[in-house]
Amino acid sequence: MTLREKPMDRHLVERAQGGDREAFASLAFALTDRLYGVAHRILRDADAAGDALQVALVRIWRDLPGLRETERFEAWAYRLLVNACYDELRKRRGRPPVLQLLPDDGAIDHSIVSVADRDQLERAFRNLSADQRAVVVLHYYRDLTLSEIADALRVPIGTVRSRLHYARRSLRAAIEADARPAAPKGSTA
Amino acid sequence: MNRNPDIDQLLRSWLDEGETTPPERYVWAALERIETTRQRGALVVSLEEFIMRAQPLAAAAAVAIVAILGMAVYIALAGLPNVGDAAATPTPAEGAFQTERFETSLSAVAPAGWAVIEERRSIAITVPAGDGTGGERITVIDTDQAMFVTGPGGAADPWPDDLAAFLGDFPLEDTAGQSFTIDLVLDDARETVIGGEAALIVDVTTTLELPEEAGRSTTILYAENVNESLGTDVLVFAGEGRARFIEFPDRNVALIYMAVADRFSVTRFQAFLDTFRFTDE
Repeated sequence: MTLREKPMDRHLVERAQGGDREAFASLAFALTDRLYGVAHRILRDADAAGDALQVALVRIWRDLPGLRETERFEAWAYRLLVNACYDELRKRRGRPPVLQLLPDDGAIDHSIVSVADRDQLERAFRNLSADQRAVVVLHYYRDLTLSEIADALRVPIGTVRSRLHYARRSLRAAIEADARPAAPKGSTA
Repeated sequence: MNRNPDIDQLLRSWLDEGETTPPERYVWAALERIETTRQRGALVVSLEEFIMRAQPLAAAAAVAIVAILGMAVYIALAGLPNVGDAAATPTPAEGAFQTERFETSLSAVAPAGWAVIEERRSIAITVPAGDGTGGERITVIDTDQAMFVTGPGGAADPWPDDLAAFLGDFPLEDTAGQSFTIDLVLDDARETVIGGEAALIVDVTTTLELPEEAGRSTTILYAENVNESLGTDVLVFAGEGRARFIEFPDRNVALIYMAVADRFSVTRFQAFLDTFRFTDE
């Protein structure tokens, strides 16, 4: 699956920047799947992802005139989306997670991810911080490089590396823990 | 990064599963909202970004102003000619760099060779040009990972109201004018004696608080909390009293603190410290 779709039409971005709502609507529809895919994976909840998408689109429209380099539109849009996701996570903190059934389209049957791994990943992912989730999704789902993520989120690349490292470690530990018998409780160094 | 290549493949596959297309109602709702949403001028957006970035500085400036005003009022009321002894203030060695002063009621424990200038309402940390022996500049490996040990002067010195702001700011500037932030200050003592409360800030993802037994509380932080080179080690913080745990999700750090009556011990502390290098630039 190639996740690097063609970049947004720069002309369209410039027109939307100038207040052209039709141009923005075109941009929104072109961008929606990418943004929603990211939000859904960060938030693990369809409703929350939809809300975050909606908020992000409005913010993108509102702040678009402030974007100086239109070629960075998509990275910039990810930043607003990720911030909207953080807001959603804060809003929904404490609420029980929504369990969703995966679509029965046969795709899952061919997945290399076992049911047990999927369950462990899901649990471990929900335990990651919002920052870590965002980095994991942008890297593994959107295929962004670490420097692209740093650029999009406006954080130092070392921070991105660190977040990814800890997230991977947690996720890997979850998978590995599931694959071995439980250790005696309370053991320390 | 590739010690276990399967995890990368697994993550990609797992993340590829699931929805990619939202119900259109969300997009239509957003488009409906933009009909009544005015765009903000480039200047406003830039200004807002500037303000956002300057917030920590503004907070520090506000604290400094309050401290100065407070000091002025105090001097005026008490009729004191001066506070402190200028001659007693250490002069940083050539090549050293010094933090801005910021208000705090806490005392700090700094690594050997670091000078801590404590006054009642302020604290400044002078970082030697090197690690105190070789003259190198300190490189912070990762600002998300470090440790800070501090203790307030007892019950009379309460924990600062804005703890997150306090913890986040040890602004440092080198002699070239380049500024960077050390999140936390390292203490190189294997065992630290602190009266009052001790705080340790670590990058934590998993903790386990064991039940309190006979007033003794133990918190185990699993390996995720520290640098990779610690392997599967765990840090065990043990002390009298109950440990408390505060998360700062935005900063990706957490704070473990506990009241300690006597000694505060951290096993594997040296291993933790060893993960921080003091190197030449």
